[in-house]
Formats: sequence, structure tokens, C-alpha cells
Amino acid sequence: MDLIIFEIFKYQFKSVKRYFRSRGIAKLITIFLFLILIFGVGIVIYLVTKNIFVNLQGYENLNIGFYLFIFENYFTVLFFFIVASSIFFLLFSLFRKNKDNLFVSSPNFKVIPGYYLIKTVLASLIPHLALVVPVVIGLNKVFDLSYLQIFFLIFNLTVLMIIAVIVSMTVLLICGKFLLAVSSKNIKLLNLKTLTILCLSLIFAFTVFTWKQIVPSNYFEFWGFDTSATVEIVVKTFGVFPSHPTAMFVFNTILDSSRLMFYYQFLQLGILITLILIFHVVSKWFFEIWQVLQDGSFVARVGIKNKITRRIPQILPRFFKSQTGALLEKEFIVLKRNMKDFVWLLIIVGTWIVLNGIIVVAVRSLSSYGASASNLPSKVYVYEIAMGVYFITALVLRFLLPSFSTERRTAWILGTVPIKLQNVLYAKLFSYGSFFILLGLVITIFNAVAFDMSLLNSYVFGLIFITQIIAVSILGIFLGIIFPSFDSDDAEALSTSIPGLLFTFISILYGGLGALVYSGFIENMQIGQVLLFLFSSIFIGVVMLKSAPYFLRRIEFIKKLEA
Amino acid sequence: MLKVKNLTKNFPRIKAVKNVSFEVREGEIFSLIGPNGSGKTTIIKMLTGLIKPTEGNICVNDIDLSKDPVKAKAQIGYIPDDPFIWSTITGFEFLHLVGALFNIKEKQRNRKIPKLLEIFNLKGIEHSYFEDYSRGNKQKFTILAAFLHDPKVILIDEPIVGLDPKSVDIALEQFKKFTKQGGSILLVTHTLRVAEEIADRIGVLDKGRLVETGTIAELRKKAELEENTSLDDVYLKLTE
Repeated sequence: MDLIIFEIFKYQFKSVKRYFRSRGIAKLITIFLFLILIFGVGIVIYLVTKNIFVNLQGYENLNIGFYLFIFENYFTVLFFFIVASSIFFLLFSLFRKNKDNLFVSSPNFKVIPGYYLIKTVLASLIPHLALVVPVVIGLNKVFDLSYLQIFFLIFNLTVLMIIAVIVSMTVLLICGKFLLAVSSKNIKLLNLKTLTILCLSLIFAFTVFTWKQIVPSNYFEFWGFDTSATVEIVVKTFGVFPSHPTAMFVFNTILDSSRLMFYYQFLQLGILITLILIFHVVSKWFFEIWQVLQDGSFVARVGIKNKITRRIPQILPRFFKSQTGALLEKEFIVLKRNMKDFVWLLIIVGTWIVLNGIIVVAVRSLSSYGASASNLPSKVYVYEIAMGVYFITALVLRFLLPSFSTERRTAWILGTVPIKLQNVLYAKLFSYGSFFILLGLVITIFNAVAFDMSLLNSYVFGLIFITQIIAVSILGIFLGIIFPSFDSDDAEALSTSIPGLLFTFISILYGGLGALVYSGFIENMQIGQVLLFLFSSIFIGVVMLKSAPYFLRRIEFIKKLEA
Repeated sequence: MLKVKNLTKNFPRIKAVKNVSFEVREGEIFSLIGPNGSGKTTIIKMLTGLIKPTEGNICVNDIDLSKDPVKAKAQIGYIPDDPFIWSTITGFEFLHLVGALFNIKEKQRNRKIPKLLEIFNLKGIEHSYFEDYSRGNKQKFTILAAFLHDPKVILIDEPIVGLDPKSVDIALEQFKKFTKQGGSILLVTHTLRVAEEIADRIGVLDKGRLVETGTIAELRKKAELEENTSLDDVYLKLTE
């Protein structure tokens, strides 16, 4: 069985080699740019880690138990993100219709869960190392660790990632088995939608539980405690999380306590072995879950009435009355019914809202310790703009940039009907852009209320932020039109192409510029800079929109032959 | 009705279509046949406006496709070889969407679509998602969509792939009925039986060139074969 997995990975390695055979240099540049991006993230994490601990060391009265609190927080969040992302990666790859038919119909179908487990671990490795290695280097800079300690830290954190992936796979299979068990002959409860909803509910419940567990602890109370009292509170708060042994391991590493280090390392390995055993048991459920989730992919169901057709109330405008309306409705329908895209949307927007919530809680918490809300926020507002543009970039990168490339196989419909292709562009831009603008408005109002922003400040904040959302959306779709890619139908793969990375770089820089302009406004009332920024953004946006049809007409929706 | 003049398409390192000219007259079914890679699909994609010709001219009902693509496309119905449609829209929604994109009023669509569904007996499955349809059913919906706006010309790329024998007969009957009412059809296929059964004239493509055109009788003559020789033999002789 193990040999089969080895053979599959050997085959995959060969397909990677084949991938570089055509346009190898362009693909190597893409990977290089991707590594630079990861390196950039790593540098930021390293600087933040180093600065946090250097600054904390400056406080004479602070007990080192506070360090444990920071580790627990970071590793809990890290663990949560790996679990959440792995669940969704597995949900939409493990049971994808018509994908593993040959594999499942072979006598080696039992290795599939193991294969996907290893694949998910490998897929998580690069982002994981980007989030973990800089932390270790930062800790080494401050606490001067030995090589052996550095090795064990990276080892421990990698095991944490593997634990998170096994937890994800186990949770997914348990959820599938549960839905199967509660189904009856007449009521079938297991399908991709119910499985996704159950997983989302569990993740939401875990978020609420974590929030309730962590947020009531008053971060700043620790100042008055001694180390053992602080450690006791932290252990009581975080002891329930699987990342706790890791946090304790890291904490004892910087304390140079080898005995406890090894204790927590063995504890973590014990958790890993237990989970592997549980996974071994639940992986046997995979086959029947996979079978049930394939239902409906071969035969249309006769007798379904108007259940899933358009049910727009008569009083609302019927999109199908005009060409652009029809295109708009098509975009809405396709997005709404594509579970994978919808979950992606929820993840990005949910993360944004949670981060916003954390900032508000932190600022309010600081305010209660004397830091006036009117003094602090100038930097917070600026940060909020930069963060907002970052999330909009993620959304545009995933949805708007590849939106023309993903039409390759359906282009025969849009390309053969008597419409101007720019109408397709406007429909795509409007359907996603209007949602992004709505999100931007909600975040603006939320910030204005949460931070007691003045009317003028919140107005300028909104003006800059919404302009950036529009400009970034136009930039994304424009680059997607200039550099269409028909190598894949997968929006995720298309996002990590050269145009995707180019877009990410430009829009993050643009987000930073907007934040800088806003900073100039709230600190020195530089209204001229704001106006210049707004007008140049609008001008560039209009130029892109006006020239887009020219590039659209040049697109040939076929994969170029390269024989 | 459809005039193609000196049509050429070059891909990087490949000349897919070389200087092809032909005409499809009113009420006629003209079939292009040829082996895999002979340029059939590339020609039909240029005629639908999906890809740009390197050289040449396409006129549909006297409208130049390159000069007025919107007006020209309004005259065309297209049935692709791969009936790929957004997986989560229903057959019913697809027909409405295509109808709306061809500017057919909703009232008119509501009247026409149920009648079209009856042709292939698709009533009862029209509200299922495309991902749930068999290949044949997907193909049937694309055939119906091509008739929805009463086009002047229908371009068909491999019409019977995935269809059961009864549906093949229905589809071929519909094509004949369409030309009887004055429409024109360009049929691209390598299923020679279909071309032999319904085409008025046939063009033989080989390596991107149109080597011969004519009725089956004319092609037999050009291939220097006997009167009852099948199209398969004529085709093999002309492309050898």
C-alpha cells in the first residue's frame, strides 16, 4: 500500500517536471516572484516577533509568563488557520466529482485518504515554514538559542502542522459519517452542501469557543502578577487547545528548561500517534462517503419542478430582460451555486471581519488602561486602510482576475452571441465590485462607530477606501484581460500566475500609498494629497476601463498549440 | 448565405487553415469532412467569431463578421462539439440566458422554450443542473439553444456525439426541416454517415486545405470511383 503512494508521488513529480517543459522560464519567474512574496511575509513576521520581545524585555516589571501568553495566542491562531484551510482544501479535492474515478475503481482505493493527507501536509509546508521559521529566527535573535534548540523548535512546529492536517481530515470524515448515519432511505442528508455547512458550523463554533476562552482574559492584568500566577492563568485558558504543548515547548525552550522541553515534545508526539491511530480507523469510512457524494453526477433528476430555478419576486427588476441583465444574473447564479467559491468568499470576508474585531477589542482594552481612543486610532485607521486593501486584493485575485480565463470552456456561449464583450466585462465588474464596495462601506461605518472617528475623518477614510476598492477591482479584471491564461480552469491556479503576482504587488503597494495619504491627512490635514490620490486613481481606472475592450477583442479562448 | 474567402489561420509553429474558400447557399446543408487535425474545428471557430482569422473574409447574410460582429452573430446559431456549460445552471436557465443574449423578449421565450423542450422530450429534467446531465442531454440543450432565435445560418461541430440513435434521427430531422424553411447549415464532422445522409454538398479538408468540394456524385467522379461507392471510400481516396 505504501509503495503505491510512493508511485503516485513519483508520477506527480514527473508531471511537475513536464510542467516546466513549456514556457519554463516564465514559470520559474512566477515561482521566484511567489518565493519573494513569501520571503516578504517572512521578513514582516520576523521583525514583528523580534520587536515584540525586544520591547517586552524593556519593561522591568513584566513577568515572563506574558511570553507564554503570546505564544499560546499565536500558535492557537496558527493551528486554527491550518485546520480551517485544510478542511476546505480537502472538502473540495477529496470528493470532487468525476475526479478520482480511476483511482477509486482500482484495488488500491484504500490509500486515497492517506495520499490526500500527505498531499495536504506538503501543500501546507511552504506557507507553514513562512509563518514558523521567521518566528524561530526572531526568537533566536532575542534569546540566543542553540542550534539544537532551533532544530527542535522547527521540528515541534512542523509536527503541530501535521497534527492540524490530521485533525482536519479526521473531522471531515467524522462529519461525513455522521451525516450518513443520520440519513434514512428516504431522506439523504449527506451531500457536499450539508457537509460544507456542518464543517463551517464546527469552525464557527470553535471560533466562538476560542474567542470566549481567550478574550475575557485581561491582557494587561499580567503586569501585576508574578510569573507562576501568570503561567497558571494562561495554562488554564489555553490548556484545552491542541497547540498548548507547542506553546509550552517554545516557552520552556527560551527558559532553557530541557527537562520540560522534552516532556512537552513527547506529549506532542503522543498526541500525534493517537491521532494517527484515530485517522487509521476513520479513513475506512472514506469509500462509502465518496460513493454517496458522487450521486447525481450521472443522471438528471426527473420530476424536479421549479425548486431551483430563478425565484426573483415580480416586483424586482427581472435581470433577464436585457443582455447586460442576463449576464449579471448569470454571474450571480454561478457564484451563488458554486460551493467552493462561496466558501472562499466566506473565509476571506470572515477573516477580515474577525481581524477587525480583534483590533477593536485591543484598542478598547488599551483605552481602558488610559490610552485615549482619540490618541491611538490615527495609526489604527491607517492600518485599517492597508489591511482592507489587502483583503480586497485577495478577493479580486481569487474572483475577478481569473474571471475571463475561467470562461475558456464556456466562451463558445459568450463569444458567439451578439453582444459586445465589454458588456461581459461590466457585468463581471459590477456583480463582484458592487459586493466589494458594500463590504467597504460596512467596514468604514463599523470603524467610524467603533473608534469614534470624527465625521470628516470617517468621510475621507470612506472616500479613499472605496476609491481603492474600485481601482483595485478594475486593475484585477484589466490584468486578467491583458494576460489571459488558458492553462487551467482552476481559479486558484490562475491566481498564482505572473499576472496574479504582478497584481498582488501593485495593489499592495497601492494600498500602502493610500494608507500613507490618509496618514498625511489625519496628522497634517494634507487635503491636496488626498485629492491628488483620488483623481489619479479615478483617471487610471477610467483609462484601464476604456482600453479593456481593445484587449478583450484580441482574446482567443483557446489553449495555444505548442507542438 | 455564408461566404468564406481565403480563410487562413496560423498558430505558433502550425498553419491550421490554409486559404480556404467556400459558400453555403440558402436552404443548403454544406458539410466539411476531414481527418483529425485537418482544421475543421478551427474553421468553425473562426466563423463563430471565437478566434480571429490570420487572413481572409467571412460574410454572413452579406454582413462582414470582422466589421460588424454583433449584427453578424445575430444571424448565427452554433452547436459546439463539446457542450460545456456552467455546471450549476439548469437547462431551463441556459435556454433563457441564451435567448436573452439574442434579445428575445421574455414573453416570447416563455412561449418558445416549452415547445423546444418537447422536441427531444426533455420535459421533466429541464430544472436540473447541467452537471447532472449526461453528455447526450447536454448536447440536446445546445442544439435547442441554437434554434431559439430563428437564425439564418447554423454552424454545427460534430452534431451526434453522445446522442442515442433515436435522438440522432430527431436531430437530423430538425436540421433538414430548418433548411427546408430557407436556413443554411454548415456541418463539420468526421462521422461520414451523417454527412452522406443529409449534406447537399460536401467539402473535403486535408491538412488545413480544402482539397475538393461538390455533391457526393461529383466527389465520386473526382475520385474516379464507381457510382455506388460509399463516402468513406471517396474520402479515403481524396485524402490519401
